[in-house]
Amino acid sequence: MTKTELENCIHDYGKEIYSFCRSITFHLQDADDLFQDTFLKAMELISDIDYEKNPKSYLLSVAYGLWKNKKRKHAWRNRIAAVFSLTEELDFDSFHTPPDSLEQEFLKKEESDLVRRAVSRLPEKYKFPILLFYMEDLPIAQIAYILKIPVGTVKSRLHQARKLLEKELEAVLDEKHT
Amino acid sequence: MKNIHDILNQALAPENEPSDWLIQNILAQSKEVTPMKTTHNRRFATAALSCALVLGIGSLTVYAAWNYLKPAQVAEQIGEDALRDAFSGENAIYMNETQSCGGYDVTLLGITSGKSLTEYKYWANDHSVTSGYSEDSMPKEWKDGLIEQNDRTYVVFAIKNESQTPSCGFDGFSIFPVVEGYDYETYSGMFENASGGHQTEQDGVLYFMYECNNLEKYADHAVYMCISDDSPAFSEYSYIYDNASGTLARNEEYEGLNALFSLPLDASKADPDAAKEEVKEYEARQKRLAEEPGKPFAEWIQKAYDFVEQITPENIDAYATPITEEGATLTFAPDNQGRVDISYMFQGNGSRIYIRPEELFEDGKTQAVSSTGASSESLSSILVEHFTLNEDGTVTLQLYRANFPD
Repeated sequence: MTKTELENCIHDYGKEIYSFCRSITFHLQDADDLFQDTFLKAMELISDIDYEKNPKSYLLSVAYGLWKNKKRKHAWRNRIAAVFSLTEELDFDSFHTPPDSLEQEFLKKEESDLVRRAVSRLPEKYKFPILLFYMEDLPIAQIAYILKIPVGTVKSRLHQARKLLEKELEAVLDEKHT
Repeated sequence: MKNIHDILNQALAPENEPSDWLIQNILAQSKEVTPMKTTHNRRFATAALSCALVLGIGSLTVYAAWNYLKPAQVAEQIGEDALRDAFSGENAIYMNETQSCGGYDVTLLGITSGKSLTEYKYWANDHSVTSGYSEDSMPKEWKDGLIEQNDRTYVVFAIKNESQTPSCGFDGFSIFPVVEGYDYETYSGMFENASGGHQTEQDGVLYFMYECNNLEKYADHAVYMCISDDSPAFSEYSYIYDNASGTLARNEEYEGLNALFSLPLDASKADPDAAKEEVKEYEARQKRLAEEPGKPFAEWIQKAYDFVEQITPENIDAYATPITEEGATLTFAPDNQGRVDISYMFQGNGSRIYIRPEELFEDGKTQAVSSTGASSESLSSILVEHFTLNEDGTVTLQLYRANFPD
């Protein structure tokens, strides 16, 4: 992959890959590192980006694999160092664009924060399918490819995750229904 | 009206942009990256060598050994890291034993047992779920209804259909353990309580990891694992339990899937006292449940049930009226197992039974009557089912409404 191709690839998919990295990592710095490593690893692995073979899925699978490896490597550290709560550490404010109507945007932001917090608290087996489905807008088959699990398992995890989120977000959903 | 899909779509839409600094940093570092050499050819060569060895030896078992995932790989695929390590450890037993029946090749790949091998250790005591929950994933309202199952046996199977890729769904199979001396009818609840598992599929092979309470305590008995497509899962059609000796065998006449494996558990790990205690507790619980007075039905339901109870094929026209609307008369053909899948939904009420005609029609009769339960606070939700066994072996269901007295 040439530097220009890499630049184009970041331009085309950067926002989606970066949003995914932000959602699965605990710190901003981790998200930046993962994003950077994803593109550098992709450069190592492929000679050129084939736009017909869905590079977004490929990049997401690289990001997912790197994150899993990183977590495994650093698992021992978590035993001796206090781990900050994911939900406390994440800066949810930075997920949002500046408001155009203050009150409306405030409510929207509050609701989105609640949803994102609920998603971030999901066990990873449920969180990844939800992020790939709703954030990355990927079809089930591609989620199965990225997570290396069967299509049926993706479906059941999505179903289970939605059920958990429905309970967690009861207040938000009730508000919407009234 | 918004639902969970709309809320998630809105809240999770990608909004984060990488900073210019970050992009520049990647582009700067990209100069130092050297593309890796592809390993595809080497992998292909290894696969080709495997095939050559198989053809040379001519052994199907060896071929299977080369091709199936190992239990540790299955555990990794379903995201269970501790189990992956357990299957790579000293306490794992590898088997690779294949049985072919009902059009399936079922291979028992391995077994391991132990404590704290998964974080998904909370199960519903009433067997209402088929997989465990972790502490942070369990629904809040279930917290009191879930029990911790932390000492378990895990058995990994590979299942292949001879003519087609097995479906990822596992609805058609039942997996369950049976222990020598403990008949299925009485003790299946003890062994199957909070049991279930995970599945994954690769290259047309369905891998299933079954888990249940630790079976090692019974290792001084024969411990069996059954995989059956019978309905119910265990019957005299598929398995033969010898009451005198307490041993179990496949019914060779059964044409479906009725695999039966003996688990080679380490007899030195048997714990007769713990086994005795588990059996004692189970028997006491069953006795308690049997003695517990059932919650009485509402008076109107009880009266309705008493009314439909007296309906027989002979007197049905006196007590009920056939429904003539569309969907109230249905005919079902038996499947290749000789069973009829009678399922229907009529105006919001329905039922499903999967049964052999000889079980539905007793003593060689060709007509039978049953009724549905009340699914709402209304008499109209109770339907009378009239079954006719046709000469061609099909079964016709005619729905009736009971003529309840005012």
